[in-house]
Amino acid sequence: MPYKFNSGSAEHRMYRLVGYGLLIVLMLIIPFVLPEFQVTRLNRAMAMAVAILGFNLVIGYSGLFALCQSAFIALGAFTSASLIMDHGWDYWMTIPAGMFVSFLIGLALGVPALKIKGLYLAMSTVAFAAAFPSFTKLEFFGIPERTGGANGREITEKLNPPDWMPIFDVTEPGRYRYFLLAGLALFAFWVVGNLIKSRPGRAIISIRDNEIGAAVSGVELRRFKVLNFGLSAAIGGLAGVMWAMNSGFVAEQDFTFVLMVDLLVGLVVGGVATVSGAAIGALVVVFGRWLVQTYFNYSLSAVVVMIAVVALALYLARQQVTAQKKFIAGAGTLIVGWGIALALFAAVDMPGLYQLNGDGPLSQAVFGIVLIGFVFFAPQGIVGSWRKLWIHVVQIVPVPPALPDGAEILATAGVATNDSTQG
Amino acid sequence: MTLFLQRIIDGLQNGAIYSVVAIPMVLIFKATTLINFAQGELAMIGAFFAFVFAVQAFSMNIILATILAMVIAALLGMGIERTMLRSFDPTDHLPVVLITLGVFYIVNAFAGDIWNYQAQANVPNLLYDLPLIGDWMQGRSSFFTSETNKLGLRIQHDSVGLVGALLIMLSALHVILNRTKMGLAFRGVSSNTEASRLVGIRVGRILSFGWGLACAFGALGAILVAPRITLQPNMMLTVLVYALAAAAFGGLDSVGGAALGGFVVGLLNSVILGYISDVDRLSSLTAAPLLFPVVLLLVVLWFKPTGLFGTKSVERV
Repeated sequence: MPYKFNSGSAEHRMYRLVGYGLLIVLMLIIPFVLPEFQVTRLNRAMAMAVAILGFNLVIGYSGLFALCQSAFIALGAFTSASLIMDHGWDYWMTIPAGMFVSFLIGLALGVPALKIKGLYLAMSTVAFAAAFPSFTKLEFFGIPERTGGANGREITEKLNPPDWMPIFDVTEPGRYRYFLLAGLALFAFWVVGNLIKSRPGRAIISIRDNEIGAAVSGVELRRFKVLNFGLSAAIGGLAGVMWAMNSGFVAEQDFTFVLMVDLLVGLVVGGVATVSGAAIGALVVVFGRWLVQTYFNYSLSAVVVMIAVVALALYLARQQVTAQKKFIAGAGTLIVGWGIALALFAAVDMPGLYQLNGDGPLSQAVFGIVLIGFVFFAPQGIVGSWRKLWIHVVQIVPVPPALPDGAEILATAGVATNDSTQG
Repeated sequence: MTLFLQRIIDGLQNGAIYSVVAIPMVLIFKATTLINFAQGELAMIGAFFAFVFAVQAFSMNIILATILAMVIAALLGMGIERTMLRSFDPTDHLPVVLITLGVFYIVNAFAGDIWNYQAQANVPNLLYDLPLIGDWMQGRSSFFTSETNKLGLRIQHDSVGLVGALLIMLSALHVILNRTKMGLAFRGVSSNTEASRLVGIRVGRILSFGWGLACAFGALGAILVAPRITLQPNMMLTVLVYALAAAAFGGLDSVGGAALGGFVVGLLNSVILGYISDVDRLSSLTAAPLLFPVVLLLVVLWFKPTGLFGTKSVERV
């Protein structure tokens, strides 16, 4: 029996306060618990989270297939690097500049997106994302000098803690950067979270759900589509500047098609069309890749066995009818199957079973498998699945907005209460 | 003038490579109305299979190895379609795009894990081992040599073979799609799935057939171009961008359009970029800037959203 309270009640406020309070406390503690190199990784995860957030605006909320967020990150990062190194700008000043450049290119791409539909759009934007790294080497307007071409651009002036700030060690600037980046990321999440609940946000979602219906209801399709494209690109640009702030080095090799698919994995794993999913997806992608590269050093034969176990688990889960049984069958087979497989691997211990270098291409294969697995079995992502489970613990009952004086509810009482109260 | 002609020849040579990847993509789009982003990678793995059979493991005859690789690639494609894509509604784009991208990642990573990301040496050239014309392909002709010929042009002998192979592939596809019962059913499914189901066509089989056909031809194409663009897991990455441009140019549901699109993209790329950039960088396919196909893609889709030969779909409210 879930715990219920009304939306907007004192309990609800308390619930939210505790939730956000815990999040803030966790975010304050984490950089001091983790070692410096992990904090740097966390910083990259925050940049990725902001990028996925922008990505989600286009893919999740407006349903447009623009698969070129990696190019916007690159634009932001290269703009930042070039302005700092060539024109002596400050890091902070490059944030609006990077966002603006990405915004303009996003608008430029958003205009064709008005006419190009569905998979054709996916196609052209995938081509754009795959081609973007080679653009940084084009011999126009001195682009290779600004971007560093194939070698990448080092920002020699790093973002280090100032002398008067005693709590941060100069030799370990990751923690200092963490707090700056966390501020930026929280701001971006706050803006987007509010945007999608606002009037323009609802307009964007209505375009996704039914384009013709939205147009009939007075949503200006052109304006909202192009603006949404530009906004998503601008957030990608912010992520790029954050990327440059964290690493102090930008190179075209970082912004390839692989990054685009990583963002897509993060988006799907976190949850399409959820705000918090972006953060969770980014953490999974960045730390997942590290975990896989560090600990997943099995050889191909072992991977094949593991995939077979996953396939068996998925098959058995499919046979079940209810969600609980599906979960039990799938997870049970996974745990038992992998347990047996790992025990066998340990017992046999034959040479060639383990790969010596864990950072082989197999981490990529794991990402592909995770992507497909989520599409099949948890299309709502971690956040969506979590919400489905959490509803059994806490339920927030929506309350219709208060009516102005003198107004009456014309509908019958049954309509006014939300369906979720029945569950 | 010689330079101009040379660029046209270079463009046609590269265009054949783009067509070879674009055609299977169009076949799959016709069958299932989805874009297979993994097409290049599936073709690449087919070329690797042929390489294993012919060189690494069994030292088979290259023709036999090619046929085997095509069969394996077809089975792989059918398996992917059956297990991963069949259960999704093709009009819901997100899952199918994600799955083909996932397959892209997995195939690429496995190939990289098995064969490394270095270009393979001793890649056999299928064209050289063909009966009758093999000797000629190897450049024992005074006109089609890898050296400069009497007109001052450099026509690579195997590019001529590649263009010829492409034409043979196209005619084979034409015969399969227009003269066989399976092809008729395929065209039926591609134009109206529901109606085909009603008249008793087994749609599932046709989808498998489409994927198998596309992957087999893709593998053949990759085997043909592998000696030109080196055999390595990332060989199709840049070609994919050009192939997407080619497919969009011709219209995603027109096989002939995709072939033509490949040549047009190759030609325009070679001629236009040849005059605004230096020639040296263009001579190698992998280092060529990809700006051109992307711009072409956007321009074509802006003025003709269904490509030149694509069928225009009418939306009803």
